[in-house]
Amino acid sequence: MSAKRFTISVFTENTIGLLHRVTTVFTRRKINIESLTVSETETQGVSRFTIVVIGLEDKIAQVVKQIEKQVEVLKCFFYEDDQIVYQELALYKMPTKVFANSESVEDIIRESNARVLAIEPEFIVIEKTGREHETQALFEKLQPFGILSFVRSGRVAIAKPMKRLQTHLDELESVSLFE
Amino acid sequence: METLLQEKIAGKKQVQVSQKLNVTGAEAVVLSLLAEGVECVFGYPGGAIMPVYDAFYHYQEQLKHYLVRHEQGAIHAAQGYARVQGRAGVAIATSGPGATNLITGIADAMIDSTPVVCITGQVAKHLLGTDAFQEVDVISVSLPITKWNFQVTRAEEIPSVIAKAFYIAQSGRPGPVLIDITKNAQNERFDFSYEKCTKIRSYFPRRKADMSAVEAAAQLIDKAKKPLMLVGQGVILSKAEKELKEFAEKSGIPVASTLLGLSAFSTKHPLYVGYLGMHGNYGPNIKTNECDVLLAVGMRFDDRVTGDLNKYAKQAKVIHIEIDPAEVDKNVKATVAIVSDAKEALVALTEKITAKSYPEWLQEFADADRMEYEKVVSKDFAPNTEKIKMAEVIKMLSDKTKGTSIVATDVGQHQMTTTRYYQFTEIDSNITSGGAGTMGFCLPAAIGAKVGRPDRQVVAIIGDGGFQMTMQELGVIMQYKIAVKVIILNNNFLGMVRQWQQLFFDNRYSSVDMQNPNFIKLAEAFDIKAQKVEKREDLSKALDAMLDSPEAYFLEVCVEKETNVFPMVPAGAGVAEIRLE
Repeated sequence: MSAKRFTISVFTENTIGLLHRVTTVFTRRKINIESLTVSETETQGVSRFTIVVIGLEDKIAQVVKQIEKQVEVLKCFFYEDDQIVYQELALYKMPTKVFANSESVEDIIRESNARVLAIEPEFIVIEKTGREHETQALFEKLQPFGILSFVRSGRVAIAKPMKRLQTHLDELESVSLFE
Repeated sequence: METLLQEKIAGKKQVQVSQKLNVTGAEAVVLSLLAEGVECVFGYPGGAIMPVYDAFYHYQEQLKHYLVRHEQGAIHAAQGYARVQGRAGVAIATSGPGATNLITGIADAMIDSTPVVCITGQVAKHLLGTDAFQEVDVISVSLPITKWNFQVTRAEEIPSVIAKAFYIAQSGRPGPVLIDITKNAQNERFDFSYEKCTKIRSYFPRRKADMSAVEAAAQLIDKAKKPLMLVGQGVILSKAEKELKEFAEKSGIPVASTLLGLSAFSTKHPLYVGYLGMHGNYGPNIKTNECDVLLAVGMRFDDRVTGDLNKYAKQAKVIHIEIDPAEVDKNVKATVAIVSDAKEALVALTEKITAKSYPEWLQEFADADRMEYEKVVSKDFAPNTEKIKMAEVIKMLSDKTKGTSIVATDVGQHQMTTTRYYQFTEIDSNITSGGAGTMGFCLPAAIGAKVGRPDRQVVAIIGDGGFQMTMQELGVIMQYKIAVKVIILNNNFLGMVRQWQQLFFDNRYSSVDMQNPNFIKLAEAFDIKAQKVEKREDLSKALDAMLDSPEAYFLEVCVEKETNVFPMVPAGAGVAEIRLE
């Protein structure tokens, strides 16, 4: 078995300290988190952590169970790339003068389906959404013109299976005892 | 927004609600503990927890506070109490060093699944994060070693958080929880009302046993020719000793116990074949690699039980009964897993299986036992050395008490000798630090056990090394007249480390030789009756005096300096590579 990239979705109560609780599960097993995004879901008070890691499937499955074991975690899933729809976002800060001096930057932006977010006297900010290799390709194209600053977000992902969180929880509840 | 996950009120049991108007947060802490049926707490006061101690003053008739001598003593006492009571023990400490002194015990309770509720004081909310006096971020520090923790900054949160804490600590796979309460929250006033927690929407502590898994397990068991059952603390935690006995007697399967499973099944039962692991019995270790069905009940395949996983029970179909889904397939892949409470699974299985017996298979265990007796046990018991051997003491204690005492142990050679030779016949009797291997655990844990079960004989067996880690708790025995019987097996060595240095480090004894104080004078300084035994012929009388004493008693037994505990599965070896000498 070889290491693969997995996307882990953790549904949790929105409480202080839970991020720490989730990440310690990785720290203990010395697994590096490639990216991490947290946001509230369609349900008030429920947060979703999207965590990308590289590891052996067995080990990741175990980590997922240990995350799910945390009292304030509702449910935790893990996926390979073909089971999810996912996206990242990157921002590129460039000197404004490169647009004045060259038309090719404009062409690159058009070809890459990127867009200009802000124009200031000294700099402009370009935005590109896509997968990592796409935002990286744009980075490499822009690099010769002098990138002042670059930032890429963590992955956000939506699972392809249609089963909803509530259904999972109802199932869990139906096989559970509480006292 | 959806109405997703709304707690279902329907069908909820009627719960008792206690109320009191205009109380301080500190008083609310006490009222909440009383509402949970708490009768005693172990703790140590200090600046940030003083309002709670003031409330204790007003409620001293209802809630007994035991003043320990170090916060580590409080948490271990709470653990000992929890183990014999089968419900959460409570430890209280102030902020900063008070809270960090609890940490070792919290880690111990986490790995040994002991329900403990810790309450720590914290600096006032406006000082959080400012490096205030005695401020430590105990929430972060305790996070990986608590089942749940929470910082309370408003008084109104206190009842619901304490209710949650007890529910979480005691339900499912039990564990320690910590509540950190800022000083302002202890002083604020509010109208108190208490409702027990019976459900948390994100928390599913127990699953019903999946009957198809039970069916599959029953089929494996019915077809088995050489089945072996390994029982762990899960049986004790789910109070399934009776159900285990019924299952064992119907199935006829030999029963082996883990360290923490000891006392769940009588060692005198004909189906009992011994204790597992690094210093366990020869039979169950060697037969683990010969059985065809391995039935694990409420145990987690700790590395001290399995040795090298690549050489562990590879031939066997494994049935794993375990309440914690994260333990399934963690170390040993299960052929069939029943994720449920041990009691429920055992009851269901007992119904499904056919009554059987395995006389030839049991004979193999008896043969292994005989071999172990010849090579190890007879030598351990033989009075052929100048000084007494540890095993002689334990054997005599076991015989004199008929295996009915609560026996607390520390960590090391004396622990392995005790768990090998004390023949437990009563449930809830074995108190030891298993997963964490915490030296210093025994004395305070034994105190907690005696507080929890004053009706039973509680014997603490401790090495000279571990005793000196928490010996200050003799003060608690003195102050509250707790009739714990303490046996120090003194070999003037850190015996287990010395054994490893002898076997694996070419006899290079590095920092294991101990110059000890006069233990008898020490015990007498705490007003505890004490006796030192050096000669074999004095041992029996001394043990009688200790056991017959209505008060605490301290017995120092000077034992052979360099005995080794065998059998032994060397670290990293397979269970079949167990050494008898």
